[in-house]
Amino acid sequence: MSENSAPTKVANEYERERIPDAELKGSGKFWGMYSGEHAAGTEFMIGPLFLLSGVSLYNIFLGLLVGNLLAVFSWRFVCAPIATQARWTLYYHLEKIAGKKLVKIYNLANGVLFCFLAGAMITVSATAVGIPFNLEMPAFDAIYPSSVSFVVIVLLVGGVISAVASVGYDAVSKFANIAAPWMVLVFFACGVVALKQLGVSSWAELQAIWTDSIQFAQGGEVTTSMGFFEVMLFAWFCNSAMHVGMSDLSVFRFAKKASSGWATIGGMYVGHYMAWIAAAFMLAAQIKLTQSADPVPGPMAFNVVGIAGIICVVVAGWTTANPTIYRAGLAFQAMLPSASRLSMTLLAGGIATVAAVFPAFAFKLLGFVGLYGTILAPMGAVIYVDWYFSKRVGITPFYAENSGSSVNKAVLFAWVLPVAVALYFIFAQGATTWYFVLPAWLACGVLFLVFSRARGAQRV
Amino acid sequence: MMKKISKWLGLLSLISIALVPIAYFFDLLEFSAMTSILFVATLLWYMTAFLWIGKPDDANLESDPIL
Repeated sequence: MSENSAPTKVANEYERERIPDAELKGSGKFWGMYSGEHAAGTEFMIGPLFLLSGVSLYNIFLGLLVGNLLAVFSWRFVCAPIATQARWTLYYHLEKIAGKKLVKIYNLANGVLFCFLAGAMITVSATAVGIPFNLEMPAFDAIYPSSVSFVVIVLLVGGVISAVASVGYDAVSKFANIAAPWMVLVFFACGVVALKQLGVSSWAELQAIWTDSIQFAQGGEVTTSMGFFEVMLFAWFCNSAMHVGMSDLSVFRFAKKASSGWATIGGMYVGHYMAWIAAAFMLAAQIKLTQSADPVPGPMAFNVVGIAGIICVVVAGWTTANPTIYRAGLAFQAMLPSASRLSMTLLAGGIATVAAVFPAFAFKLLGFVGLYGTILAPMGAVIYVDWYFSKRVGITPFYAENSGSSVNKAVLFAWVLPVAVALYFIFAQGATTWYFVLPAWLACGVLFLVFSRARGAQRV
Repeated sequence: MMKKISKWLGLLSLISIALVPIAYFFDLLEFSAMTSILFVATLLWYMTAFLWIGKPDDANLESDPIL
């Protein structure tokens, strides 16, 4: 790990310098990467949660279509152009504007959120591992674990994943690379078989059985908390930390042209369209066949494609949780440089495993994903505004680098204020999380300009 | 030679995973046959892929964990 506060194991080359021209890559590499990476363990949870939220079939198909397109545009026109001009990682770029200490705080927030995300993935894997043991699965409204055996399985799965993340990251990286094309096809298989199990022969029949499934899941009612607009916003912002939040500057800095941003079409329409819809159909099929509306990935996948489905759920959860825990461990180590990477990765794995014991984290994934974007994405607005507007409005670009500041207060307050307001509405008022990603991003950008301007232009 | 055979077998297993559910959808296969073929194709994929797929050649392209 370098002295930089934001290292990643995989992106340790050129962490603090521009990418040399010889290392630039064509768009084909990005198509492959995004298509494989976005078919992950989370997809098994997100699709069924749409059904349980009462989303109509029309709104799923159209909302995801438009929302994913907006996500692609965000990568292509917000993230990729800056990445291919600056050719720095998010953290190095942010450090130049915000200062080293503030980047560490941002990185820590990232790490803590990653732990809970990894926890949800451990829960997903545990539901598949538990099938051969006739494990009593948690119900959808469960907050606490369903049984002692569930806790034991989660602890075992979390322990193994954490241990592997601590010592065997490279092996998992290779395994994830192998699993990616297979996993995409298993998702496809799950969708096709679930559709067959639903026994429909027309769009009208599919809509009817879909409505019946929602009615069953909601105990006889059909109420919805998500319409077209909400589905669209969710699809747009579920990876907001990566596109408008600029985390994927670290990826696209290797792209020859900003047009490589179009490669995210592969990830969005394979992982966040086909896989989500397939997973949603799996729950509808489960409701029809077993009268169970619990969106537990292991049994759902087993019902449609048998043992291959169980393997897919385990692999999908594991290959998502592993780098997440590893990355969280690096974030913790950045805060405590004297601690070893091993101990910090185990700490991150421990937190994730404890979170995994409580199935509510996995079952509330839709809300968590919005929270994740609300907290992290606004920092991307600072980079965007600094890059495009600083000279036009007379503020110093890369203020922290130029002034030697370790905490740029303009960035700190521009980030904290809108996020604090959003968190108030989310936690105190019970507002839906993904409404706040865009307002917080815009507010952060505007406040950064205002605060920087108030400090006065300083050509240092 | 072994690597070449592995590649072809791996490709065959992936094609099977794509086609078998479609065959089931059109009633050309029983459910149990479909799940058995999917399982065998899964095993075949992992046994062969390890022989020819290495670590990602573009490790730098890996982003932060994604959803």
